[in-house]
Amino acid sequence: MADERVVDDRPRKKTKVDKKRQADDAEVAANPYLAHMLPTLVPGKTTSQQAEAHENAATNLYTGRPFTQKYRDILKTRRNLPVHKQRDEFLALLHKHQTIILVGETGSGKTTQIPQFLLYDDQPQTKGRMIACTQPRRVAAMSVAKRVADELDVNLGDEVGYSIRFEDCTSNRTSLKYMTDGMLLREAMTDPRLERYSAIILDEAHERTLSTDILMGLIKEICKNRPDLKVIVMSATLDAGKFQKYFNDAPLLVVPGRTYPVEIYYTPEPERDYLEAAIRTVLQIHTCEEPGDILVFLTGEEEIEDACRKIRNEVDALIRASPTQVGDVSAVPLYSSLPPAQQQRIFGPAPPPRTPGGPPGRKIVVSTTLAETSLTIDGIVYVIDPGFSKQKVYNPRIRVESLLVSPISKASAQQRSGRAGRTRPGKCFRLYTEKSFMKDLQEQTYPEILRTNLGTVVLQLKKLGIDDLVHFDFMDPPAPETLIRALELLNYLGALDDDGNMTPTGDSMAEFPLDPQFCKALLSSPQHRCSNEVLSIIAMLSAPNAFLRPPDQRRQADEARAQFEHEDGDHLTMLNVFHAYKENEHDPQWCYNNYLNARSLKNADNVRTQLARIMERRQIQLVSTPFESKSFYTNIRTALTAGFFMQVAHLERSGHYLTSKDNQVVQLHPSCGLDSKPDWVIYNEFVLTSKNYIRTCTAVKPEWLLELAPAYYDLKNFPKCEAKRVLERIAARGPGGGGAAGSKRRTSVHARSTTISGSLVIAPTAHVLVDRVSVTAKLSHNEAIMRETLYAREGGQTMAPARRALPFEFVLNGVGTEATLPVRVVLNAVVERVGKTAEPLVLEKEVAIEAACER
Amino acid sequence: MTAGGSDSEEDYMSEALLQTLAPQPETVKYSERRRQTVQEQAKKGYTKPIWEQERERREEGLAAEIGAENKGFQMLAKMGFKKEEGLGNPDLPDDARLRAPIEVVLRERKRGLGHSPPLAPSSKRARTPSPDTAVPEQLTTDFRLQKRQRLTEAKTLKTLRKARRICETLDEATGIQRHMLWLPDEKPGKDVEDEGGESGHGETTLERLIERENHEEIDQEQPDATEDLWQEVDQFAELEPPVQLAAVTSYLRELHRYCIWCGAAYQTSEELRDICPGETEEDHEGGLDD
Repeated sequence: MADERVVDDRPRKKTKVDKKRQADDAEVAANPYLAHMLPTLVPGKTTSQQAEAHENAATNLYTGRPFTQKYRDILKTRRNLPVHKQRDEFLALLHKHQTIILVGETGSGKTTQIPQFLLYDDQPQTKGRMIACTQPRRVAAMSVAKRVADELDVNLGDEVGYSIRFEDCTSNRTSLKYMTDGMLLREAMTDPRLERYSAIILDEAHERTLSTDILMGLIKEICKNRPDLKVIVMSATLDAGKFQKYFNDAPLLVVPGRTYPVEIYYTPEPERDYLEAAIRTVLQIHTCEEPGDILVFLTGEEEIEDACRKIRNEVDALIRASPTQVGDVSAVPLYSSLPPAQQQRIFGPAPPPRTPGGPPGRKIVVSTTLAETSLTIDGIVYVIDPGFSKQKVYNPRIRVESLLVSPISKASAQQRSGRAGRTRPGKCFRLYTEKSFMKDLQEQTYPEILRTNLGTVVLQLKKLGIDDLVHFDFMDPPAPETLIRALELLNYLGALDDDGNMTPTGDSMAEFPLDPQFCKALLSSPQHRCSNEVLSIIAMLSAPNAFLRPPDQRRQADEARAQFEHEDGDHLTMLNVFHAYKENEHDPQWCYNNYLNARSLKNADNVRTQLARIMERRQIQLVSTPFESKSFYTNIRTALTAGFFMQVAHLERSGHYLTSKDNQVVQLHPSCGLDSKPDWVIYNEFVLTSKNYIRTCTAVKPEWLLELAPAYYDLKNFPKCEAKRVLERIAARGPGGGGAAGSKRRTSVHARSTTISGSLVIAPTAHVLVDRVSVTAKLSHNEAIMRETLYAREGGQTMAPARRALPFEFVLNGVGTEATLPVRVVLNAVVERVGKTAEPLVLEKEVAIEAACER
Repeated sequence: MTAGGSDSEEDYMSEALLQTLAPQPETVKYSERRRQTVQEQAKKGYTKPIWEQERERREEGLAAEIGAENKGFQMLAKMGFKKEEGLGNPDLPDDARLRAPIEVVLRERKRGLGHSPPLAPSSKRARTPSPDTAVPEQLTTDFRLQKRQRLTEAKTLKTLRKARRICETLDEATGIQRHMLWLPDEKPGKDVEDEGGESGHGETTLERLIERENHEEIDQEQPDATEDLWQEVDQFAELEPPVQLAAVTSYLRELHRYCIWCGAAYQTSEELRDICPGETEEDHEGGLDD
């Protein structure tokens, strides 16, 4: 019986014989004594009937447990998916070819079903191997794995698992693994032939993420030496020709989606304001069109929230005006940083009519490109497409990487309109002219490899043993200058030598799933005795932004943030936040009260644990400078400089910053906590919006730059600028002439006593009653050494509403034996006042003075 | 006519012909010079707003290709990179290769697709007229010349009338009955319209004026005018206005020691010679023209 079916691989038709067979299968399946009658699955030679027989059986092939009722319910819906009809066709291609290109619309079931088809055919568990299915997004990898675990009636993490950066949910029993493309690339570093996999599915290849592109190049190479490896490249758009050609004319399998015709409307004239136009169109649809939900594509979180608010307001106004003619709406936002529970709201039903028989309610989903291909929302009939999305852009010439609002491609526009025809014929409103569609939109979106910094990738490729970067078989080769910048960065960081060979440092750096700059800072942190702290900072920077700033509570949020702020920079502020989070035992309520995102902090903590594990494995010390020490923060800043010396901005005399070497005019980002403008800062990002901003900045000393990166700050080879002249002066002074860089260069002095004197000028306004003014002197670290009250209000007497100078004098006795020259003393003046509301307010003013210690 | 016509014919395409035309002397007015100086000074003292500095530096940076002096370039070259070959699989068609980084395009916030070019390419200060709307250089100079000519003509006529009226007053004071240089008798208020000199229909003002004056002079029925005077008036009217003016002024200077530009009669001819700057308007800079 089994043999007969192996031979029978004609496309199936519902015949009487077939029905008879199904009845047989059902009988065999239902009767546990007939279990041995189930067809044997010979890897690479199965048919759909055999697999289905196992799926219909009483017990689970993989766990041996009986199938649950839930499983049977899901199985019914699975059999209705379009891809199911082509199971045989798929298997036939699979048996004949090593690589298959599969094109299927979102909703065809390819992401969940194809890996299972493969699983039954390939039986990787029998060979001690696995099937990998890559996803560009972490969320997708997790949620699809969960779904497929349910479909196979197994526990997530057992037979079906997932692996994403900083989270591995697999076991030694796992035979189907969903993972981000970045993770598979990372695994390839330790397993260059990907031996642990018998098949690899690259899903959502049309998105052309950086990692998928590199993986394709890599797998194409591996396939030459591993004829047993099966590769399936899955795409949601119909431009599969490029993939076929790249994979040596691989066969194509097209899974038709279930789509209905979509009418497309263009605007007669270009729109002045696309957001306003989108809202107007929503209202028009809501009042004039048949029932059906609306999907609006916008570019970012802020814009989406703004649009949702405006739609609600406008519809409320319409309902007030004509309550019997206008139905309710629910405007639901969707973007990737939204908490998962809130993302689920897009699947909720539309609101019911307010009165029985009244106009029906409508659901309006306002989304980023997320809703374009990666998820399916049923019930969408109308799509509004302004023609924009946020796209990453990297320019190696000025080393700027930004998310910019840019026109989408024609392919994207088609995908978007397709969303309207999922449940019934729909309409797509493009907020641009047909001429614009033809003229202003490019055919395809540029793949990520052309739009991103390649620092990490080059390090990875080197680690993968690919030495010939010049002729690597990129599907789309990046701009040479992008590669040049990446090599330059890695060379100055000491990861590659002048010939482009990986150094031991580079080898260690490649271990970390981080940008090379972070890796370098981390690797040099033990020398500066602050690896614990640098690790925390990097974990914070790798997690989503932890600071919340709701539009209606900006002031409160900023005040909450101010209590963590460190005067020397945002990196240190992040450390303060992380420490406070740990001190408060991860309390979500504490986070809420302090306008901090508990999820981000939890994520940061998790990232930190994972990174600490890698550090342990590489035997990198985890050490700290005692918090009481004056060099606690200085050491951290020095270690960060060791990684970020190429991202430095210098304050020019004209009052703005210029980036080092590239000489770009930049400004501190408004979120930056530095209230004075330090002469030199390192920055984490250079972003382009309407202005040139540098974000996450920390003050550094120019001496450190010269000392930590002599090759980069080789002044003979430095473009002429103000920064160069300053550096030249410092270099001329010779080592030790400046401040302290690292612990080695500390000059130990015995400061017996030093006097600091001056006067604090306060200009109270007429309506402010100053209660008390006090000044605290502290050394460059947090230790307060003296506090003096300069002024206190006596019995209701108010301070004159004129400028008043309050003289003060501090004698610093025995400042310490380790004090450096010159000692930086920060005066912290606290002005306590009583306003009209009798609520005390504390105004802080910081005065920094350089006081030389007497020996 | 063919391009290579006979030698005797003048070749209008020849450069020689152009050279015979003397270049128009570049006359730069004081006000223009002043404006230029002020502009230059303003330029020196002007610091560009930060966004403009940002934009300029950015555009400069984006246009500057990373060269062979870059460490990364040298490393890539060592790996076998050749600029003309580019990166990637050698079998790849050449147009599939990206030579330069993708352009960074900043868009104006919320501006709809196709509405306008993303961000004005340059600031107002540096804006140059587009080729469509720019006026050819030749046309602008022609226009200025015409305009200036019309103004001078109107002014000449105005001064001429003034001079003739003064001539009449002074002559009558000395007892002269009638002279061809006198302003022909006119109905009062008739010339008010022309006082403004250059009016809306400036183009024809001169002709109209001359014509009318001619007619008026012709139509004059001077009862005690002799045939000679009649003819003289006729002849005088046919002269060009500047010539008429020159005649009247010299008559005034010689007979009445009156200078129209100084607006004063001198006691003696020595005084006139010494004090009056000269016989023409240019000698009295800014004299009548206020």
